[in-house]
Amino acid sequence: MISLKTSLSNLPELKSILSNTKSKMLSNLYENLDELKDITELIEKAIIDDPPITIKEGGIIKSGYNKELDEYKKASIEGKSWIVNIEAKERQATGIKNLKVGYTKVFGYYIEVTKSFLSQVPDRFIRKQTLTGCERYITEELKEIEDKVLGAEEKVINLEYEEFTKIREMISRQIERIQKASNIVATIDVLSNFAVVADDYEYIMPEINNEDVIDIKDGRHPVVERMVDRGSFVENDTILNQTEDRLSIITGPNMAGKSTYMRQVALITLMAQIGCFVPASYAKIGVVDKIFTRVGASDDLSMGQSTFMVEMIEVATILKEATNKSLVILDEIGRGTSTYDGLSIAWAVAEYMVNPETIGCKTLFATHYHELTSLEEKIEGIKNYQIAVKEQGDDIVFLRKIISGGTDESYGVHVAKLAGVPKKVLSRSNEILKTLEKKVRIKEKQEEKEMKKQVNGQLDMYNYKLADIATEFNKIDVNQLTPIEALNVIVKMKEKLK
Amino acid sequence: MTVKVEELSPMMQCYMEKKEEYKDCILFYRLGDFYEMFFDDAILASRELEITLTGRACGLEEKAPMCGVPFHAVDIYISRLINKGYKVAICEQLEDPKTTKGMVKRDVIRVVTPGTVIESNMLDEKKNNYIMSVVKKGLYFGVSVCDVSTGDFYATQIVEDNNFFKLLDEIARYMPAELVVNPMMKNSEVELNQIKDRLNPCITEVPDVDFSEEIDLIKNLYNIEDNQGRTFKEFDKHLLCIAAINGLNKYLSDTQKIKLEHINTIKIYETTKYMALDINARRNLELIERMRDKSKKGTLLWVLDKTSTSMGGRMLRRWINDPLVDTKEINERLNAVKEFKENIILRGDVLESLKKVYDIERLVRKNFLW
Repeated sequence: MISLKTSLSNLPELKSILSNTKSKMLSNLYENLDELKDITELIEKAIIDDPPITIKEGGIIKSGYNKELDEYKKASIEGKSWIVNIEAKERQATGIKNLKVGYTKVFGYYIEVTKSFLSQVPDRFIRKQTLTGCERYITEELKEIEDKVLGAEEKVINLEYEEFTKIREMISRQIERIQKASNIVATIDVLSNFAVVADDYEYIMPEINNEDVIDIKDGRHPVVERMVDRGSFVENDTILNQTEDRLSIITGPNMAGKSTYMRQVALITLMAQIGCFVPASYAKIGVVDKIFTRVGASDDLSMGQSTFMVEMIEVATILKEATNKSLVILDEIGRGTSTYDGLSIAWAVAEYMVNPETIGCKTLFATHYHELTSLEEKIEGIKNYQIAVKEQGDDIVFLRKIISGGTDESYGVHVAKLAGVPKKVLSRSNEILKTLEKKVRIKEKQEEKEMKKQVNGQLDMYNYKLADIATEFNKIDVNQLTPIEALNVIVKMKEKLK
Repeated sequence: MTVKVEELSPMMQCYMEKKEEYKDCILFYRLGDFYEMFFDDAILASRELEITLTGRACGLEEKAPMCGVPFHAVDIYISRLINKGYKVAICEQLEDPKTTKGMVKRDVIRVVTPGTVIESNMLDEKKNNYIMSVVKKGLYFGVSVCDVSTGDFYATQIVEDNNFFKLLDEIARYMPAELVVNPMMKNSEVELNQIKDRLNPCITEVPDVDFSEEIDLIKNLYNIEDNQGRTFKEFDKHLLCIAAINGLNKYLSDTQKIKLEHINTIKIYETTKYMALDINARRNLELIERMRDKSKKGTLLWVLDKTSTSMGGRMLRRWINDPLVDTKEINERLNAVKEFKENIILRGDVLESLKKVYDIERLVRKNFLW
């Protein structure tokens, strides 16, 4: 209860701090903030500042709060001097000089008068006991004091508990007020917290409207930028609207930052809609009603459903639930099945998403099916983007910058190299790549355009395998590996490449 | 373990009576300065809590297996059992042995379950601990959710198509520690498994009769408000809401045994008030916990949380879970943040002042209801 008092006693201060605020929300909070002075004062008046842990052993209530209690306390502490006071008082009142106050267990407190003074005993003395040399009396006053002295301790404890319970009840009738106040405190905490975060991390105030446009300049991923070195995060612009830029197809190698970019857009939108400033240099956010994401399903493997099934269930939900006000993020859909299946599903999904008659939502669509980039020319509202890559001789560098246009390079082998796949595997895969590409060229001459797509697709699948191996390689801790295990890994990789 | 009740000592008979009432709980039976457990409970608890199993004369030939924990340390033991997914019924002495002749009266004063924990050592201070009721009727669901430690109580219903996913969204929004469900929900194995796979809450089935659609049962107990804080009126269109509230209310009063004064307002909300975030989006975007290890580090919450109070911490978590869709409301928040950002003195004073505020919500609960 004391920590409650300490907490509540800050409310008047908090309220006065807010008294000159200008924004509507803060002045509303100011007006509605109940200072709860009555409760603070009640606890302040009644409860001692350093109460014991248990409430049933007394020592909780401040003196001055309850007269009766104070008297009991006084009685228990000063019991003896009370008795002495009575002795002196009665001696004076009766003139009996050797009048004594005594105590026995059986009779309690009594006044003793020797036989020689019996004549001076007043009527209000009530005789209790006669002994050989003296008589013992009680008075009403003595009994009263006795009541207070005897068991005063117990009474103090009981009364304190009673008072405490009363106070508790009084306050519990005010619980709603306390809860409202604490809710306001929490709101102020979160709002000021957002300001602190905005300052510390250089966020800006987004512009919020219902215009169905998401326009972000120099956006950053709020979490990733905190994990990397200061200033090393590459900023990106985003434009999504209801007209020309409904659906962005993003191509580019794995690990180049497609997923980070897409999540960043979703997070900035979400942050704006909780009332938080956002990591960007400019942001105009048309409110979205739903955000969907469809990103790798590795988590659900344990459920026994196939990855592809899970993926399709999720895609189905999105297609059913998304509206033209939604923001959808699709990362590599169709990946869990064969190339043609996957490509055709991805293709159809993209068409369905972008068409205002079916959904027409804002969509970020990352894919390794480069064939999808041809949609830009066919369907209004689709734009191609890619992650910029710099080639340095045989090596590549991911610039993590989103730029316009599609790419048909997937850099799978490069990624494998970056990931540390052994040279032998790399050079072998380059060989295979070349043969395959040659085959493609031969086939190109022989077959229709349709066929080209298919083979390209398969090529892609192969690169995909490599990237898969690359990720697995990345997971290996070389320091933990015995030579035999290392050999096994190589065998496994070879199997996979078959 | 079968026990011949009629041969037991009177005290043990009384114990068996209580145990019969709280079959699905471990019964902590107050004997003087200890809470004792007997028979199967004792065997189970001694193993789970790593405490010594002894015996107590009980009127039978063999001693009754028994183990116990001292009353002053009971919170720790209860929290260990709750964390392992058990429920604990606390049976107290209701009379002062000093003033009572014969056996003191004992009764269960509270049942502690994962969703109704209030002991602060068992709670994450910057996180709400929710208990949720789900009532399934045909294709539709009624949902209500409460944090007993703070008094928050909400309810909604899902009557649109494709609604099991909507239910998952709601569950993902609150991540309840415990679900109270009606038999139809309990028997929907596929759906239940999907829930369990995602967050594995303790699930309790209660009979349909508890999920009454009778509004009078709760109308006088709570202020029932809509999204905007106005008195709620459209009860006849929200029977599933009412059923869910009634179910949860009954369960709370059955387990908590006292009127929970701090739970006084129920907010009935439409799921459209907030941005819809499906369970995958919440996880993929790593809003409040990481996919990999469920930790807070590396999440949006982790970046944004510099709150000074526990109440603020919990509210921030709720805000992140419930983004708004109304531009007016969003702009009000943004303008308030802007004012704090620009007026550095104001902000400094507020932060200084907030530092001195403890967890009022949970203090209230602790001070006035125990």
